[in-house]
Amino acid sequence: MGSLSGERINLDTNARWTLIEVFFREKGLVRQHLDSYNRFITHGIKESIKDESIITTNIPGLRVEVRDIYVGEPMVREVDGSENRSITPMECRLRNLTYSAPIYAKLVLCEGNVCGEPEEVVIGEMPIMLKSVKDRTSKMPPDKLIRIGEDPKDPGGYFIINGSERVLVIQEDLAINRILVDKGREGTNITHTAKVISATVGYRIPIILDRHKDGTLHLSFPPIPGKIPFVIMMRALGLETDEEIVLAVSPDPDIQSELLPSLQQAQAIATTEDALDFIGSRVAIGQVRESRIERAKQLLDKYFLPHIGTEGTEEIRRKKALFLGQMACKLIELVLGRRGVDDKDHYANKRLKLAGDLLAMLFRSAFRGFVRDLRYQLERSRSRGKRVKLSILIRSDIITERIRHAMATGNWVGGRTGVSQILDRTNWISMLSHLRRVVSPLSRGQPHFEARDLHATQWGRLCPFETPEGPNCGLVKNLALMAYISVGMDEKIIERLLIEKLGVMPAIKVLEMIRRHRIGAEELFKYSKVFLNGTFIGYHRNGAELAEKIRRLRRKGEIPHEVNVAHYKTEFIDEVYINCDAGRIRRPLLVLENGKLRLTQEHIEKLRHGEMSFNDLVREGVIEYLDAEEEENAYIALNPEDVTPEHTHLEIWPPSILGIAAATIPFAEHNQSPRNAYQAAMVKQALGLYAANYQLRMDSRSHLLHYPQKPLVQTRMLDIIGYNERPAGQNMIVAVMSFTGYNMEDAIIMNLSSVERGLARSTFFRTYTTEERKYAGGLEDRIEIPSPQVWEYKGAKAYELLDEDGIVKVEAEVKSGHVLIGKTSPSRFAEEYRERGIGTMRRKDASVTIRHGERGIVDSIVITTSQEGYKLVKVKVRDLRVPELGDKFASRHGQKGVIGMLIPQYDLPYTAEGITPDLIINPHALPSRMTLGQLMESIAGKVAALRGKEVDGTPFFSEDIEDLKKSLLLMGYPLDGTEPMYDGRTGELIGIPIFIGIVYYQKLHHMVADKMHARARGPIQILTRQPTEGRAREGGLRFGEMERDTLIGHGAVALLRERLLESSDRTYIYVCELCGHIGWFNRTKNTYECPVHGDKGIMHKIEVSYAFKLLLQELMSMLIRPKIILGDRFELAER
Amino acid sequence: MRVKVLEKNERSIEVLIEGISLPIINAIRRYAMTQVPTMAIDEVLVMVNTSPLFDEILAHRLGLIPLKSDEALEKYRSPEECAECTAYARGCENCFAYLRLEAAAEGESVTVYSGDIVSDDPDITPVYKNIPIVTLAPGQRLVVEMRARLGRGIEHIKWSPVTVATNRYVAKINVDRSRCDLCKRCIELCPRKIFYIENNELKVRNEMNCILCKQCERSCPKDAIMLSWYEDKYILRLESTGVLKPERILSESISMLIKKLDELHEQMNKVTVK
Repeated sequence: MGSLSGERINLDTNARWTLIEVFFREKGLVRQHLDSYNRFITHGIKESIKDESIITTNIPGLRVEVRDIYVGEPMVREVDGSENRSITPMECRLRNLTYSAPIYAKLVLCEGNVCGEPEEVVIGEMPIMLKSVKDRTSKMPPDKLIRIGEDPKDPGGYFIINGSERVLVIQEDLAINRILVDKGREGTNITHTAKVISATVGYRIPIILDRHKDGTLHLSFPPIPGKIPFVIMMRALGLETDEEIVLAVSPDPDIQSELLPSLQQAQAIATTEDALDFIGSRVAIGQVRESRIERAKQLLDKYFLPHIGTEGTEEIRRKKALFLGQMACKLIELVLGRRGVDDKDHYANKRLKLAGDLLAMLFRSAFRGFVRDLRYQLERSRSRGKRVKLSILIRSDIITERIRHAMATGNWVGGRTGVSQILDRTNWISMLSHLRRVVSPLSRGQPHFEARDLHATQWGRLCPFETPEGPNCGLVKNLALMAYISVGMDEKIIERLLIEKLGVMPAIKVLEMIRRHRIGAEELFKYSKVFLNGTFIGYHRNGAELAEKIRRLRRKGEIPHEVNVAHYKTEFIDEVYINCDAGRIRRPLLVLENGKLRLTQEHIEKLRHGEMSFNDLVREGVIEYLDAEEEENAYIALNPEDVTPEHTHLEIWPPSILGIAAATIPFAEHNQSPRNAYQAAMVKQALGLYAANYQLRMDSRSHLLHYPQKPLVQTRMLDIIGYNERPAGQNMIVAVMSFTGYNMEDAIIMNLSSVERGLARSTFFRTYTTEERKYAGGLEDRIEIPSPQVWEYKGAKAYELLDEDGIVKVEAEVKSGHVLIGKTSPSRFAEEYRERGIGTMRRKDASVTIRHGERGIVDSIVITTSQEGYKLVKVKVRDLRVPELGDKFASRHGQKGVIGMLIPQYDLPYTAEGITPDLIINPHALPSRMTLGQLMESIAGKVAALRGKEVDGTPFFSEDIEDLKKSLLLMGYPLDGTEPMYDGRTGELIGIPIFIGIVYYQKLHHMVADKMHARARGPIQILTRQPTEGRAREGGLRFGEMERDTLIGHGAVALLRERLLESSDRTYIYVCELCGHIGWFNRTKNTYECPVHGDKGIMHKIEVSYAFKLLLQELMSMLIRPKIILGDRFELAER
Repeated sequence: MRVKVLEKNERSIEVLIEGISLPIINAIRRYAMTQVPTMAIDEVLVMVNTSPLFDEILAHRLGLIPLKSDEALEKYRSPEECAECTAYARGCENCFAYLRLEAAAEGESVTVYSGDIVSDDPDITPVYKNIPIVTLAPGQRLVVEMRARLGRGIEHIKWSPVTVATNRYVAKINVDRSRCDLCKRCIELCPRKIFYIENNELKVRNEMNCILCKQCERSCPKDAIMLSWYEDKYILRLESTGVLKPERILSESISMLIKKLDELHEQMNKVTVK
């Protein structure tokens, strides 16, 4: 290796690109999820049950020991009890199954000292992430994948739960075990505050240390109500003397003197016992002193800073005291102005939870439920005096159902919702982007301006463009291309390494030495504090040296590459932060030493020939991953030519700061920033080839573009994302001009003849599903052609397309009203009928009909059985969508528009060569939006078409626009992209040359055919008798308040009355003149009756809105008596 | 009036026309695109289609295949007559040409080309044999019957005999040599290389090639170049899809126009005589 490092290297764009290619070839785009899940399945699942590995019972001596736990191979248990071990993901999708594997546990039943034989039992099922180690398809070659119905390029990283593909979205969280200091809120008694979320397996406890206005420090943490003075807490943890407490905070007299108020406050409580009693009296009120102390000890051991330890040893309590001391120290440093407030939005203070972590949380809670049940079963079966046999007592469905329910609904433990989402399969990009989405738990209701802002530490970690507009802006983010998330490792190993090899002195030892005056307090000033994963572990003589040493060892491969280190040094602060935990977003960078790259030409050659991998470079220390914390110590050059000796790292590929969606934008650096954000959102709505196995898939709805094309203007990232193989758009000839004026206000004019030739055609698919259920009592659904006798029979015409099996024929043309699957269900009241002895039990029609307002051709049908063994029928209907007036299109620069007019070729303008545009956009779309990228793409597209080779439009590394213009000129076109054009209607030359070129346009899934709707009369709601709402329910078009106002303004009373009453919910009620109550018409007696006066009432028929009648009755139901006082319609003039 | 053929080959024709006004030439251009009848597949009867393409996509692709129509114009009834024909629904021989396409892939995947289409009428065959229609995977099969009829471009673009139909102006370039300082900017920017310098003078060649892009006029710092065009000189260019010879399209287009005008004439006479 030494011989390599001396060589010079010419790191041009292509060489840098090689690194990127190798990176993605090796890792793919969803590596984070796969690694996280793999770690959970292989290690995490074993760790997560460690503290429950012995299941004790109330029966003395009787216990179950969990010796081992592991996940088996993907499998489905069919209704007949057989195990289907050859299950494929596609079969799960089609049959609405869950792609999962059994979880095996080795359990041993013990009684006293006698233990039985270990039994291997299935305790539940674990959903399998596609392409993870447990998924068989991860090892299959492409041809095998195609044979089993998979898209060979599918990245995996999602689950199949009850047939639907689900993603566990990455959750952003505040980093645990790190002390964060902040100023107190205005108007409170608190001036400054330090907060830490202490978390370890199964615990998550926030601990807050506040400094009050009088200078005292107070601690609060959930199990104990109210606040505890800091010094009392320190005493309770075993530091009795003031000296000890003060030393645990800091050796600095300035800081120590800040503790004076706190010490004075706690003078009365001088011993550990008293302190514990003080704390105990808060929770164990009214108990004797001994039990109070005992209770306090228990609380402190278990719930106070559990990440340090939950065993109640002296040493651990001391460590906890030290940690608390550090909290106080940091707080006082803030008070003294020696440090600023911590930045909560800094990415060093954030951690991401991936599928593996989320599943671990879920599994732990499910496992606890399982243990509770097992304990109960053990006790019950023992109390009945039976011989206990584990395999009978195990109920495996507890874990299975808990996990499946959470994954199917997205409701996670801890009350988080929306964790699991249905994978967005609109197109390839939308799927990949969904798999790399990061959501923040901050509520979208509150402003949180800082949290939404782009933070400098997001550079290269999260995409600066890809975030939604509106309430979720900045809270929902997406990973940048090269972002990689740490998987985490055992911090004990690192701690040992630091202390034994790297000269870190454990904090407790140092404290001991000071107490015995082996070293002076002043000496300690020169030392650096060392923090491991946020926890203070000790001192080191020279922090800078330690950090440097760690980096050196890491580059040599002697320390795992996941360890990151940062050294903060100011006038007052000298701290080393070492991190090795999971969930840090890290990004790879080229290492520079003395301004020289460690990367050599030889490395590049080897990478190109596949003789070396990206990981090898990391192992050799040529490339290293930095987390946001370590990046604070780095000085990173953007490009090789910028490198100076001060630089520590070189960016591998600057465009990789973008996420997947934004990487589709050519010349992105020439656009106004929000335009890129709009495109990042719109690319996810474009129609294209969403998966190569679309013919086999039965998505509930999907679109397919007929002739998708590779963009003529490429970005290099399109290749690695796979966009060129699964594109979503077409290259269109675009002219920028006004023409008829039908492209005003962002409309576009499209060439009708191009449309007739097949431009932007797509197919819409919808799948209709039904199941033949069996009910208790031998009743069952039947898929058949319903007989005319069934309830709600829809008339013979509706069923005309059904085959004899009750399912439509393939390729049948269906319109709304047609039945696709004929089905009858037993009457819901069948039981009652039988009791009453009514012989003729009528079945109810439960057929699946085509949706209202839709039409299509039956594309394919799947008949299979579900997990429960019911017959399951899925019918896919397709509908051709030719572009029409109102369909939405967008370029890759946030320029969207709807078709305003379709004009045939002979009317359109043409160039001297006879080229007619496919699309005419309005020039007003450009100046205010400043999407220069689109203009450049237009020229570049023209060049690409003329020279027969794509143009590279990668942001920051694109082909020079001046060169492109020159080649345009050489090929016989004006260099500015304009051409003189003739009006096709008159043949006259248009006065000004027209800007015309080729731009890649996307057809978005908002189409008129899915939206247009109108009704005259139609269904009404039962409750209010007002017209229903929405197209799906054939609803009315709302005549809203503002429309009402216009009629009032005009005094158009009759129209107002007609709209709001007569054509809405007019009804007639009978009101008694005597009491004002609503009465009714008694049909049998043919009289009008009043609830008060009976048939003696004087009733009047009144026309009111039904909603008003409803209001009156709702009031009555709340014991309010509304009274209607009637008056004469016409006043008679008195004479 | 003067007509000069500038270019003529199998696929295209370019003529310089002098002495006719622009609207008439444009009418001819538009008639070539929209009114000259050609044959195209209009109805597809799908018997077997296990290919990856849906029936409607297949039918659309078949419809766009250019069919030789040279003989068809005399042989088959015109679209108007066809519309009035009562036998339409059953299909009559004077309206429709029948074609058939059968393909199957056994061991290997097979690409079906337009050349595989078998026509009942030897005069009505695809112009090009190498237009890919669909690729069949092993085991997939395709049997379709097609009916082609005469139609016009105004109904659907598949019946249009031309891909490109343009008429353009002929440039008149005036160089004011007293102003020109030979800065060569116009030479640099002209995409058609119209300008050159000879004997310290800016000169113009091949004016006919000029597309009137005005780059020279706009870039000239001395305003020495004046761009204009001849008022009664136009170049008409037609590029055929191959269904008809380009000169035939041109003459058909003109005769269609004349026919329409004759009709109008007749009608006008009738109306005015009354």
